[in-house]
Amino acid sequence: MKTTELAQAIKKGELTAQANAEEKIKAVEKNKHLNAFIDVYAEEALEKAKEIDARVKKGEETGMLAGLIVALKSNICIKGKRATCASKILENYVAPYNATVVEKIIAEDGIIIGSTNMDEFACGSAGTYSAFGPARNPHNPELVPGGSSSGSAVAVATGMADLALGSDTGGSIRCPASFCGVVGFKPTYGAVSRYGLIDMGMSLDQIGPFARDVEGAMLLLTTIAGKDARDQQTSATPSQLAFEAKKIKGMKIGLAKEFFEGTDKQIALKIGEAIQKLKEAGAELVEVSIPSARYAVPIYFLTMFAEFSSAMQKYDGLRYGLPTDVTMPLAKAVSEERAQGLGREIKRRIMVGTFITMKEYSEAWYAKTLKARTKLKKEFETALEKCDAIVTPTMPCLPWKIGEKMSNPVEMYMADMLTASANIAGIPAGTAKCAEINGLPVGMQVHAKKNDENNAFTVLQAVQERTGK
Amino acid sequence: MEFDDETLKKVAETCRLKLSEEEAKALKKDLQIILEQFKEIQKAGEGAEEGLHYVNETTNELREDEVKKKDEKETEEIVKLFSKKEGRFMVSPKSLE
Repeated sequence: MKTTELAQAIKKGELTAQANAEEKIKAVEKNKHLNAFIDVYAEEALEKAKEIDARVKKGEETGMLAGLIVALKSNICIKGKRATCASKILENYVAPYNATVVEKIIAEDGIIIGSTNMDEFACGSAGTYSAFGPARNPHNPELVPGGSSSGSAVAVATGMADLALGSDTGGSIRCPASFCGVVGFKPTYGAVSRYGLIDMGMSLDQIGPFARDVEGAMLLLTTIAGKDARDQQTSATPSQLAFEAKKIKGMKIGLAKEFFEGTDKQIALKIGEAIQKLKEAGAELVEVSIPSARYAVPIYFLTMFAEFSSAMQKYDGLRYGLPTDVTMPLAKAVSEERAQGLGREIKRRIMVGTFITMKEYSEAWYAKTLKARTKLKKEFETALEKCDAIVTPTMPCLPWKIGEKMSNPVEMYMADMLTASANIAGIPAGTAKCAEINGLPVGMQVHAKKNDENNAFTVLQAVQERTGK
Repeated sequence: MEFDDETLKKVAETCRLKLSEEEAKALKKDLQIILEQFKEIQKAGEGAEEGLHYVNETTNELREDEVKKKDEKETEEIVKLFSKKEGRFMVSPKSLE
């Protein structure tokens, strides 16, 4: 049953929200070994489900998400609940307010089941850099589920939630979605409010949906998108807010060879087969070129390091973080507090970000990064003038074993080589499963023009329908 | 690229991170690897006239210059989060020595 069909069945009283919630809670218990959740709100979810059923019985109006179970990444603030970012430093941080996306989900009667595991402060592509232990791939628990929104992807893939939210700065929704075999979508920069999202990279972050099917992703994105005075980067037009897929026939699909170089050959082959199916469905294939895509990894990481080092300054033990020793001078107290609570990957990123923005080095590093970003963004805009969407593999490789790719810091960074471009350019991009290799899902990524989510959804829906996945 | 001990120390002080000797050694190696791998950024932007500072061309919408009454309960929730407090005030270390 599609997610939207489930929502309709609950609204009509054909199925109960309580039964749905009980099923999901059972799945959470059954899948504890995958470590998808940091906190589970089972009792509250059941109470909310019963309340929705009572309203349906009385014939009262219910919201778009009525009775659907939603999991939220642990960097999204829910009032009265921990927002840990999977870090020791925020282990006891209880959010005093709801993020805008949380307000919207509650207003539409979505039932929040818990906060999901992630890489610490969203720093990672595996789902293994968590102070609460790694999340595990549901298709093979020895393998990584992808990150940083690992738990959200796992929750949807295993039926612990109907829908989930993650955040995507360089691929942190699309990577775990691809590795876990679900739909994951990063909206246009500015489509969804970041108010209440604990930030990583302010010019790159977007909150986005996970779902079993494209219809579910569209439903959740419709719920959470829109202008918000509390995030000045948001914008909204009526057409943006009604996300729906069109027909694939007659659409122009761009193929950029740069996104296939360096990708595992088996994956490239599977994506090629799926693209053929889109052509058989009536899409026209167009060759495009994005030469600067080969610099996506350094452009993304250097931009993000600079912004991350700024974002992390607030964890000084005074407002947030482990308590400082107030008897010491300020600089010393803060330095010691931060040293205790932050993981090695976090420190690495803070230090590179600080280095490249210091006066002595910023011209050689940060200024050059910003120029390279301009170039890549313009190349995407030019390419998307020739087509309706650009299709690529989502990930250049299959999920690796938990514990691998840890020796060399850059080895894991390369996993973002195909996803980071969309964040750099600020355009929407999503992924849907299109194939399997040795029982592991393979995702196809679809990019579209800024504010043109519907074209991306159209192709993703066609991928799901045509590949039967 | 060469990333010496003096630079490492300056960076750590700037970003307020106290590093043990062992940690400093490991991070120095990490940073050298990262910067060496990413030095191609020097040529990646060739031809671009300007650096990208804003992803979207938006204009800040200013709010009315008026005091809005705040819910005292909200303030209480925030004060609860201070690790050290006196009444409603956060206690912090001295910033001037």
